[in-house]
Amino acid sequence: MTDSCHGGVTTPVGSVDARILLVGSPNAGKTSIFNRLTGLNAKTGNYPGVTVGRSTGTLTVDSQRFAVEDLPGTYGLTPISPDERVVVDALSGNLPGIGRPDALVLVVDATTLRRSLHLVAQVLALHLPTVLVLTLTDELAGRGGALDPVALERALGVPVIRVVAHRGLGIADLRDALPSWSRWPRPVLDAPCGGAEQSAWVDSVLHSAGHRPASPDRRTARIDAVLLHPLWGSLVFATVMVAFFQVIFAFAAPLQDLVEVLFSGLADLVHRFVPLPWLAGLLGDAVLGGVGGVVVFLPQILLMFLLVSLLEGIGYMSRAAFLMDRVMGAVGLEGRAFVALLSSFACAVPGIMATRTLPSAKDRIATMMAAPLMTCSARLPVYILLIGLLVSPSARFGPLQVQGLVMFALYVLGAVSAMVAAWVVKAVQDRDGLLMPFYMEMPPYRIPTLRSIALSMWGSAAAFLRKCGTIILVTTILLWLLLNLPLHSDAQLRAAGIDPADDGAVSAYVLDTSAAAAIGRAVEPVFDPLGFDWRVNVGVLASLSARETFVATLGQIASAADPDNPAEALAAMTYTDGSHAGEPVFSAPTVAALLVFFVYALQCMSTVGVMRRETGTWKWPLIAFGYMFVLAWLGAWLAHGAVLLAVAAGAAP
Amino acid sequence: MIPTHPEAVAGQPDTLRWVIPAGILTVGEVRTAPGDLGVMLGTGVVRRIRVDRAGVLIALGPDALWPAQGARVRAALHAALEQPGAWTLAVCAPDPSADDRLYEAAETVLAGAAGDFIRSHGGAIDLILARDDVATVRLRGACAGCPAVGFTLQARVERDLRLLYPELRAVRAIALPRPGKRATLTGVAAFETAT
Amino acid sequence: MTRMHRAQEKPERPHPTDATTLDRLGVGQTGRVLAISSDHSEPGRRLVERLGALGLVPGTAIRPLRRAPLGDPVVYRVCDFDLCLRAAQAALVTVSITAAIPTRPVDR
Repeated sequence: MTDSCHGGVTTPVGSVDARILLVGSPNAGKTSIFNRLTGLNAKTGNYPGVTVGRSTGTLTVDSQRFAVEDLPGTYGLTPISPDERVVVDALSGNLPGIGRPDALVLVVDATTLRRSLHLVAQVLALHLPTVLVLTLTDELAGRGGALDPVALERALGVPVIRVVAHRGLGIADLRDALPSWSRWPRPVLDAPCGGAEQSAWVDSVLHSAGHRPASPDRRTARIDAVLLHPLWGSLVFATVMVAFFQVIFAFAAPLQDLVEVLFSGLADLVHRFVPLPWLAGLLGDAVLGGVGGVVVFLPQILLMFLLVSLLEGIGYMSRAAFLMDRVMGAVGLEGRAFVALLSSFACAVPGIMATRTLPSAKDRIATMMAAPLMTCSARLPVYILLIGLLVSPSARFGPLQVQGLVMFALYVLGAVSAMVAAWVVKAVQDRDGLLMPFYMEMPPYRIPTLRSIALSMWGSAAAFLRKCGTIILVTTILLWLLLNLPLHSDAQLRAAGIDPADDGAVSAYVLDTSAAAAIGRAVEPVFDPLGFDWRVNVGVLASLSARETFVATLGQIASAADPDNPAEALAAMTYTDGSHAGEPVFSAPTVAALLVFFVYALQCMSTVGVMRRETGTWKWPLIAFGYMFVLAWLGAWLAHGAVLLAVAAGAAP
Repeated sequence: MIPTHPEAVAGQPDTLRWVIPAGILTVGEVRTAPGDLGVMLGTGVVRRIRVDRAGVLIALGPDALWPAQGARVRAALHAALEQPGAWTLAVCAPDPSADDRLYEAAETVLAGAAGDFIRSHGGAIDLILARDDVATVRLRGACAGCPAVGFTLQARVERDLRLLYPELRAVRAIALPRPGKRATLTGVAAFETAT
Repeated sequence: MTRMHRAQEKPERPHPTDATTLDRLGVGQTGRVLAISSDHSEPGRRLVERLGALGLVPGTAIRPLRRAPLGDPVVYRVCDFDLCLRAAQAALVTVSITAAIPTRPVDR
């Protein structure tokens, strides 16, 4: 989840002197060390053939260049799933096209040393030069434990380096040790691989190393007594969820206003100073208007990612998974899927990537298929626009604002649909019988470093901006072209009966004869039963690339009709032809249909792209697109019919 | 199963010290051992077995290598440790060089970081006796009679000394008497090795 | 394991030498792992392997800390870390009860 979204596929990083792999159990602090070694130049991708993420980076020490790779956390090298087999294959060099690593950095959490020695024994049996990095030694001491790293080094036969990652201690020692990797001492004899012999070995090593286990973390126990309490814990959990949504609306608003002001100011400047009117239009409306409409949500996205990173860094997410496991289990998933779905409220892309924490491939697929149904932040501008057309701001249902209620209902609809979808996909997949046992470690609460939070926020924000800069920019420019081509000369305009001096009439004519209009009309048979007009069709088609463009597209269309008052133009828009000619387009049934359409349709190329990358095949993203489109059409049609009936019933005396 | 793990022995690549808890086997040169361990000793796969205070030193024979024989040695050792009474030792004079080795190791330690620490506090430390795996030292100067003496000795001197001489049993300290008092053995400064 | 029968006021308080399955171990009791029974199915074998890697081997002490509000899963204290397991997995682990009869009856 903390990886950057939309990261490129990893490629061999040119010539390196050695390949170093980081291996260790989850929660040992491995990724922290990886980040400190590689800085910001890490890339994420996938291992060939599996939905397992791969992080690589480079590091130069003493003019030697190292490729550093962060393997997924493992508890042992005996795989129980194809994903875990990938880790074992990576270590033994059995992955196609990827050779054997040169050296290993084995990251071990000093507070769970007894359990970790099982992995240590297995890793040392690989007979690769290995250095053992001890993390969280400060926490061990703070909880009354003890350990002598020098004695541990003697007992194991490999170099042991103490690292306190959040203070940066020991990183320099680790870095300095890397160039001499071929000369690292190695154990004379393999540790026993299991059974009573391994337990005896573990006991002996721990005793020699002066190991005293840490007492259970009192602070964690005290906090969990509240946070995992059946009553208080659930209340806190509900509060955290509500806070999450408050962030979406309340806290981000002032920041969003600032961004809006900035962009409209820029657009003004463009229109004033750019000499060519078409260029001014392109830059001002398409680029600034389109992209600006998306960047406006950056503060919101950042705040949401901040909250998720914070909760995850502290360790609350595993508590959330624990609390929600039973509920998730009802649809065949597990607690960690909740975290992935929760992240999807910000954006489905990090949510889909968060499914990497799920050990079961079937759970991952099911959650990925469901994640786009969670109401992501991209739907918000669409909902806000459409709800504004449907319900007046002053409408109230008792003490509650109807607009807010409708928004809440849409969120609930998305969440419930996601759960049902996950259940269906999981049930349909049950063929190969690979049932994974549920187990989850609950680490103590730890205070995350500002650095790690900043890094994960940067990753998500960078990905979001990249999406803006590429897909959305390209789409809005393309759309602008489609809406304004073919060009008409003054003579052609006069021949069609339009006065070239009348801006309003000209824009309306341009729009009507544009390429976009042709496309919109061509798909009318599909969307007519939903009450969509060809202009709405254009908007819907455009939004297939990214939902945010729907608002920009309608904005462009409305400006064409009435450049001074686009909002009113939208409300007043009427069908130009066909069976409903003269009626307002945005009637209640149509708006309701549009809203439901947006709840269900998969309208995000970025999501399709990340699904393709995470599953390694086009099959799943295409299935997702297909089933969601059908759901969207059916749902919109039902909504249209239902609201039509309701309006008719209400209008009857 | 008795906990044990192998550690390399400096300068002797054919030997591993299998660390075991103290008190299971008596110290000495092993003549026969029960089970497969005895078989290996008899057939020359294992050249020599010696028990010291830190563990069981097992040296492999000329044609044997640890990667190949290690698993067998480990299994045999585990089995043999279940019958400590069945081990027999060679009738042996105490290892004559042990005391010399202890003496040299102790002198090295006192000349090194541990001694520097004491000297930096205005004290002085001399080696009085090195015998039977016990080193006796004398503290002078500011360190004599200091309440932190016990802690200093355990933390620094004993640890450094045990690195060089793993069979160390204890480090004892004598403080120089003040005028009018007899020399006393600071009993609190005598530490047994961990059991 | 022989069960020792003796008269008790509350029959649901198990005698300390009883063996039981982990999912029946109450919060506050301490157990020692006797065996992880694999029913020799693939999922069972996987569970044994993974629990072994996590430190649940015969002889390990284990103690339930708390249950989730809806009853499942349960957080257990295993040597030096906390582990969540569902009842379905816990039922495969046989433990002997070593300490602390709880003040409340053991609930399933």
